[in-house]
Amino acid sequence: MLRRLSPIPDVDSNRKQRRISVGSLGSQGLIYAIFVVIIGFFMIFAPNFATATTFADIGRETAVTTIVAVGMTLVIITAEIDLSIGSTVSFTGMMAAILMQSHVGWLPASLASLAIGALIGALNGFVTTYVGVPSFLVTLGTMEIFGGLSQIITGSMPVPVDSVSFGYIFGDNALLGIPIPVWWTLIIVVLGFVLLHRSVFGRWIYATGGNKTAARFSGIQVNRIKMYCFILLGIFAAVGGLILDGRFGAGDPSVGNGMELDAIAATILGGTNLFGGRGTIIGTIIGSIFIGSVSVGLIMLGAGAELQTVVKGAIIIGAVALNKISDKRRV
Amino acid sequence: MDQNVLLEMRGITKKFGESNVLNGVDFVLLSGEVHALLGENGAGKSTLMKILSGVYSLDAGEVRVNDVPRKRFSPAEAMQEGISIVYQDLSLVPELTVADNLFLGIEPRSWGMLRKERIHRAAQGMITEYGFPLKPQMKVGDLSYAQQQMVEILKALSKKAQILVLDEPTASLTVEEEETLFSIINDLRAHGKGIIYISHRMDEVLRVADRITVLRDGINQGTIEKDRATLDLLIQLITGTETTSGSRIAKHHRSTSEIPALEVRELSTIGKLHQATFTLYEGEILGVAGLVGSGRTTLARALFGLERIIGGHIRFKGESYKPQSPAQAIDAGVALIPEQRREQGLFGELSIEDNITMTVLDRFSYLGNLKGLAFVNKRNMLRYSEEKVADLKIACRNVFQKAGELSGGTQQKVILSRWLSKDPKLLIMDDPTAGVDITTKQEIWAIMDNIAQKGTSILFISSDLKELVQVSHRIVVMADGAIIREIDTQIDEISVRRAMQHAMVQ
Repeated sequence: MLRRLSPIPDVDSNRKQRRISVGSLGSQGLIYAIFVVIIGFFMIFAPNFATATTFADIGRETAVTTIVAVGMTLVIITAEIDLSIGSTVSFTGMMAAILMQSHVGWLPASLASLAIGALIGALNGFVTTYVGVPSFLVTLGTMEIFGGLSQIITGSMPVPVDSVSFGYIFGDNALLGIPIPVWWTLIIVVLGFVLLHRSVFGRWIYATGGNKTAARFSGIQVNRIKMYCFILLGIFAAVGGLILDGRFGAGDPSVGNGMELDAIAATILGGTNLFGGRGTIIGTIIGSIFIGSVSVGLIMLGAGAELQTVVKGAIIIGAVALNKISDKRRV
Repeated sequence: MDQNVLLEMRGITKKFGESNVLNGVDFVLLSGEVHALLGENGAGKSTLMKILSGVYSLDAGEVRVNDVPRKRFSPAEAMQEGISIVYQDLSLVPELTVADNLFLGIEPRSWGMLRKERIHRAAQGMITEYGFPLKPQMKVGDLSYAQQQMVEILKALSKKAQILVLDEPTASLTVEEEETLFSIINDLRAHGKGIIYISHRMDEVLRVADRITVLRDGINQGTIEKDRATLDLLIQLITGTETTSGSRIAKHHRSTSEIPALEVRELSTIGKLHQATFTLYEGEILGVAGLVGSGRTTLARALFGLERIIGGHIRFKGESYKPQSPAQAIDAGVALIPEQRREQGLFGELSIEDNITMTVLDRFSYLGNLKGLAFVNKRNMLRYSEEKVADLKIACRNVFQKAGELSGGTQQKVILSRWLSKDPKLLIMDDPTAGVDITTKQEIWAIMDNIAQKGTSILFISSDLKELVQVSHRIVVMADGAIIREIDTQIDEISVRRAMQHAMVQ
């Protein structure tokens, strides 16, 4: 029969298509527009918003959220979720602080903290995939467990960190004019980007979340893929815990509270499908910076912490809702 | 009995992408009639029913309900017209009682409060009217499947259903439960209802139906009165026998060196397969005939590591072979084109490029095979998938198009391409051309012939007898989970059909 479409695509049209699909700008355009409008609003009404200091502040504020959100993106693309990640940040940070307090060197203490993060991820992944408990429930449970353990072990008191070397590696100093936490964020972002968009593993992540059965029929070990994503997220959370230790000079047992929600919000704002199969690292970063800018902007406008959360919540729902509505129109 | 026309569907046509799923189908249902709808998977039965129930709109044709023409209806409007479908997967709330389920969404209320006793009384009235072995206060979750099915039928009747569609109603019933169902159907017929009865089981259709309509490839093959219907005629209509000129492909002659590639001996799985035995030679296309439920899909799944094997043994390439997972089967050189294309084969949200390269990603690695951590060379991957798209004449905008947007036949070519990339020693194809247009079918046949010539063995399951006969070197016939017949010398539709018929009479 007649075939309207040439079977051999020409290179030019490929390029065009690719540019659109990679950033998923096609469907995310509206959220980015809202982002720009809100930034514009702060630039006009918050006097010092448009300065290098502010951008460094935003970078510092969002560093840990972004790091966690990168891992969260991987997990959500496989069609799972991790609510325990705030507790994991607190727990791993606290454990590193306790180890250093008992005169373990900063390096072994940091490595142990990363290992603990990986173990918590492995536990979440194992119970989710091999036992078959929905990840929402599993991680709700581990959120409570590790949040509670952090409080019990420390007696709800911060554990001071006085290692000078640790302070250099994870502290709040600047290197080449860029705060150390931002450097860590860059490392994790690049790692996440390469894994998701450039490695075989990344393709398997999309396949697992996009169509679990077809993935299995293609010889992909779906459970193992999910497990690895949970473990990576656990490790990233530990990196976040270490950064917060360095920044505050102490391991605070409640420092990560609520962070899982910021990370999920950043991921979804960035265009990742909550039910798996779709999402990008770049989108997540934009989502995270979006949320961070709103926080910083509101502080500069003199809003209290309570009002910040209200506005943040409203913006998250509003942006995603607007995007949905415009999506429906297009179809 | 005085019968009037409840439903008249004329020239119903439905397209998905480029392929016609329904092509000018006529279907008429009278009151007080059981009208069976037969056809293999992908023949268009469920599409026709989805048009009836308002889930799909139609591209051409007319639907008249009680002599009133309807161009468009929503599922809600269809229900008001008295059309109810009882699906195989029942849609009841297990935690609620029979009475609650019957009146779900139409509960009698006063001042916003539920009138429990009225629901109970009304439910009891209906149960008594039809004489079902149910009580209003029973919890649906505690009932047997057969009883739940009765609740579903009652629920349809409570909404004043005139047209009742039963989709594979006996699939999960025991023999005694079937008898009860048949007497219920007789009762409904006596009440003047029109019943559309969908089933794969020929014997029960012959028993229960007043008229039988057979669909194949989206075309009505004929509507037969009960007295004229025979098993032979039905199988002929379902599987197709008339030859279309020009669709015959030149079958290559298999080399005479008969090296067995796959030897299956008395293979049994939990449930479906019972001591299936056959041999597949190198470079051979072995056709598998058998109706849905004969165990043909289970055989494919077992060979791909998707079923628990409980008896018998397999030798593949001269070695013992007992796959535990698809990953193991793939490592051994086996590929499966699964029966359900969208659900089991396709990554609809991913690009054609990703779909084609999914099983061979390590080939595009910069650093050799480091398992999942290998980084893919995007340029090589792009070049490779573009070559494949050109090779198989995959119709698309470009390789970045989402696979889910393609037509059924094109999707199948994408999946085929994915597996050809693996260069399998054994290719299992489970009804690969169901719902695929004729041009693409011919292309798929040519590809099969081509790779068989190069030494790949193909296990080719198909609902379409004509196709099986044209493409296969030999044919085995399956029934009740076993190979009941092997046909190698005189391959023609009549001998295959006889074998299938023979199996069912037993």
